[in-house]
Amino acid sequence: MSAELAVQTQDLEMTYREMWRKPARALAGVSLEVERGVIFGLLGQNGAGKTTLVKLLLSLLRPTKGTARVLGRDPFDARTRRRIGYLPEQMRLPEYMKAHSFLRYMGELNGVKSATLNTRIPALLELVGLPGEKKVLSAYSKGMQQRLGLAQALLNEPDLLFLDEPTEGLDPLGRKQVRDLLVSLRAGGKTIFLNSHLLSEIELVCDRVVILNRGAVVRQGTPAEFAKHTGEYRVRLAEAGDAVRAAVESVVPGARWENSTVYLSPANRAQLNAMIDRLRAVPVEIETVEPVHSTLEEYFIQVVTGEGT
Amino acid sequence: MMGAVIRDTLRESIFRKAGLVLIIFSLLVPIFLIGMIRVGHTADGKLEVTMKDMHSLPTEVFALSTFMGLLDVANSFWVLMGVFAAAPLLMSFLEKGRADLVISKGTPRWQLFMGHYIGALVLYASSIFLMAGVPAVYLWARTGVSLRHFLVAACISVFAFSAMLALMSLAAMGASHSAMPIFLAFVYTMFGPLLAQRKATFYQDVITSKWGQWLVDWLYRILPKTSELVMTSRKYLNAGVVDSWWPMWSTALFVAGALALSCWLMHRKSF
Repeated sequence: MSAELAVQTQDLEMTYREMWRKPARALAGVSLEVERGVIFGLLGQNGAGKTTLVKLLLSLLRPTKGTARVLGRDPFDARTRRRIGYLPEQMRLPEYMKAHSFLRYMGELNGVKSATLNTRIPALLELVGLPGEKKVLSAYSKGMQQRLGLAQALLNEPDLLFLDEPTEGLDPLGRKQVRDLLVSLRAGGKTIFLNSHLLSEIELVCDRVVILNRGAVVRQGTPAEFAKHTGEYRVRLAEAGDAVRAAVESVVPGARWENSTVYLSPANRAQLNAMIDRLRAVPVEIETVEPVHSTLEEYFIQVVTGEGT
Repeated sequence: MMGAVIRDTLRESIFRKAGLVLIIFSLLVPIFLIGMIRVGHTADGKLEVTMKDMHSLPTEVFALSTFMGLLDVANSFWVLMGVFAAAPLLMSFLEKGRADLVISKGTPRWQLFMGHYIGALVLYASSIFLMAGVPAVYLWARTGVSLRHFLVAACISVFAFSAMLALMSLAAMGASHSAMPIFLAFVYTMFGPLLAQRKATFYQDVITSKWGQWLVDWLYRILPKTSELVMTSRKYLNAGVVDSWWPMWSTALFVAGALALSCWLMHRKSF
């Protein structure tokens, strides 16, 4: 187990056992390593074991088998958790508090000194877009709760941040703000463990991604590695009237069309160039030619439905 | 960090209806009582105290009957309200969504548990000392009557509640709703006196086998002696003596054991 890693698990297994119920295995031997200073994305369908993994890393659950180290230490050690921030997916804020008192309490639980809290709380409320908020938490909208949840996760200036669906309930501007915040935190050397259903967001900010399926790691790599070239090329034409379409059909029979864009599937680059030469000879006026990459979402669906195996 | 948990528990108690009712009642009782008490002098210059529209009594007699009345309220109605007020405070931080926030922080779990236990006990003790202590101090200030026996008796009463709270806390570790500790507290309030009087109530007709009697004897020895503590507090108020220390130290052992076991269960608990 290395102290240089932010998160390290070995053969981590978790089986939920309840009286009168069949044991349910949530994690089946998960081994992964997360380096410090990266944004790490965890993907998986509902019930894939993502939240269970995060809870094990936060010592909210005890593993049935295997080991987990966080920042090189045992997550059950309270001193380890003082260096961690966590935004849970299902968060129940104490209704009787206001933003300031809630953050103060959360900070105190993490051992942050009162004088530090006096300066950090207003700054964080400003950062998450809740400056001078005086309402009790029971009157908060989902988006406001999420912003406050993010603020409490950042209160102890954590080295490692676990964010479970951080943009849930936020408007597009709020999502962008969260993405920018994550990138700036990474620039400051923080490690972020991101658990999200929004694959486009994972694709935008994550350095490494792991896909969990039925409690096991089925793929890991960078978003760029997952977004592979499909072999297709997108050729955008200046205009796609009947005459042009007929000309293209004569060169590439059965080509797929999307308005004035035609998709070509050559066997190799030489064949693509030959196709373009023939189209230019017709003449067909070409605006752009670009390779088509699969999105992370498409890759994810392939993996979890077994199409990509 | 435990101090922050205690403060939060007290803040939450005001938000919760049962806690608020306890606090309101503990303010109303002294206002009502002090408003009723009349202190004056007889024709021969002796101090006399009376309740509004009632016969006057010698100061010592009046004080003792008032203290006894307050102590009886503390040992009955107040325990009932205390159970309802304390149970949610012992459980709320274990609720789904809230536990994730709190348990993942850098405070050891035993401190979270003990903070809620102490917070609930402080709430109850404060309400007792407001409800009973303020009228008692008023009487002392106006008549000079001694408060020593009353204060010790009130402390014994709070100690009995702390044992009940320890039992509820233990139940809370295995429960998913505050109904369970409340139920257990009421069951024990009913069965506690029967256990104390087990030889007269059970052994004649109900439990005749030696094994059964051995089991009930041990159950009595292990569980808190709340009903005997209530009797001890009344006796102390009347006579200033403690007949037997057995209910005290055996209950103290129960409290220590129950809290240690609860801390261990809390440490092992999954969220």
